Amino acid sequence: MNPEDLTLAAAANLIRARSLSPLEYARALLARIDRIDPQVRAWVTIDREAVLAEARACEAEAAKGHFRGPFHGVPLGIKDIFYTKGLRTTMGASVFRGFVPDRDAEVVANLKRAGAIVLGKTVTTVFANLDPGPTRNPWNLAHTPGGSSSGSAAAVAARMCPAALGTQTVGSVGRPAAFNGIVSYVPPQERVSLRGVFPLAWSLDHVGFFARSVEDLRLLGDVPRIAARREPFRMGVVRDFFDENATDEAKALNDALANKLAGAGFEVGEANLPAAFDLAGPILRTILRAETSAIHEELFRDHPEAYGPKIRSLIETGKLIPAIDYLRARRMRRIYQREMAALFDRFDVLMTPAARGTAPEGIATTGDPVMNGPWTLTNFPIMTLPHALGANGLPVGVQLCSREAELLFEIAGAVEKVVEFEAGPLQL
Amino acid sequence: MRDAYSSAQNILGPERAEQLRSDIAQVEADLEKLRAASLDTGDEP
Repeated sequence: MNPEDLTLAAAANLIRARSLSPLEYARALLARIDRIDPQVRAWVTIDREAVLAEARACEAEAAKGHFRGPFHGVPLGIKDIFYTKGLRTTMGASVFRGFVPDRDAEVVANLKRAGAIVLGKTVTTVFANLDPGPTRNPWNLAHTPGGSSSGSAAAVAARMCPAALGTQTVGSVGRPAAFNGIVSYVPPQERVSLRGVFPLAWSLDHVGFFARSVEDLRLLGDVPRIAARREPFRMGVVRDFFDENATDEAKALNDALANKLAGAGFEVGEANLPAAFDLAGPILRTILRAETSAIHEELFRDHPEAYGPKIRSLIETGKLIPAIDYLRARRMRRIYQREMAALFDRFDVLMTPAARGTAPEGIATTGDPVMNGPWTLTNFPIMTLPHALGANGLPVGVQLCSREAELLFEIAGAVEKVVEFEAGPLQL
Repeated sequence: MRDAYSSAQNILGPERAEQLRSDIAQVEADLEKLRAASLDTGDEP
């Protein structure tokens, strides 16, 4: 097997068994980047010498039987809004093009302590909102990879790294994972530190992970296995709003998946959304606008030229929201979360399409996060898995949400086995 | 908010002003919907 095709877990195991050289692995990924990134454009900054020096150090340590942790010698991609010590961090904005942090984001520091090597910084949309970067979808270069974690998702899909970090405030992990045919995990906000991550909206921001297997996400998210599994798993198919917003093709493929899961022993039923769901959009947008506006107040005043039109609009309209209405939205979010949590009295996990359909053509937009925002607002653990190809040959994903991360991983692992998705990208 | 739109229209071009008008209309609709909803969080006095 080519080193670039290895999953994170497989690479880490081979390195530990001394069957894979960290230096050769890093060189293979850098060669892959050299070959295909001029087309995909997933990376912003790569310090090649630092990567190779770190890989050499990992190799020397492995030779002595010393391993830093579970990711020893495995290079990972880091979205360019995570601070990386000594490595340029731009937030996708011209005003930060020369910014080099003097510390790592906490999650980056933890990955390094576990042995991971920072392969480089991946493209983010401007300040992790909707204004696109230059990245293209490796399945079809004429299409968007989604956003805002555009580079991380494309890099993992295109075998330039086995896994990568992203962030999700509305739909910035689940949507690009679906568009690129890879898996993603967004843990509850309090489970992975946001320290050292440039914020978009404090109360909505989440760290997220991209990989090519559920097992890799489990390692990255540090989610333990459940000792005693309760089967059959009760799967709730959520229709209403999600059917209304999905393409006919995405709806049909999602239904086909539900039938396949029922055939594989899942207990599949229909989950009805609570009344508070009607307020999900207004709550989310009000919080997002107000918090983004507050975060960017000073920087926007001093450097308006650094802002794309979409985030500019978010900031400008956020200034119009009275404090009392922002606080009302924050309080209503708790009602919403309580009513959504009640769905898990009947179901272990809920499923919806992970995006409206396949990745839209062109890179002028990163697609619509409408399918993801309502789940981000719940702060429950969320995963996306690829499960089919659309008529245009691009991948389609399913979004799974549960109340507990441990249970979500058990179920996602079972879904992954039923689906047996064969990943591309086929063009590269 | 409508005052904000009027002054913005004088400064911005027609395209951006129209986008801003549409965004402001959405903010107003969102706030109206939130204000009309019951706010019983069940855990406050």
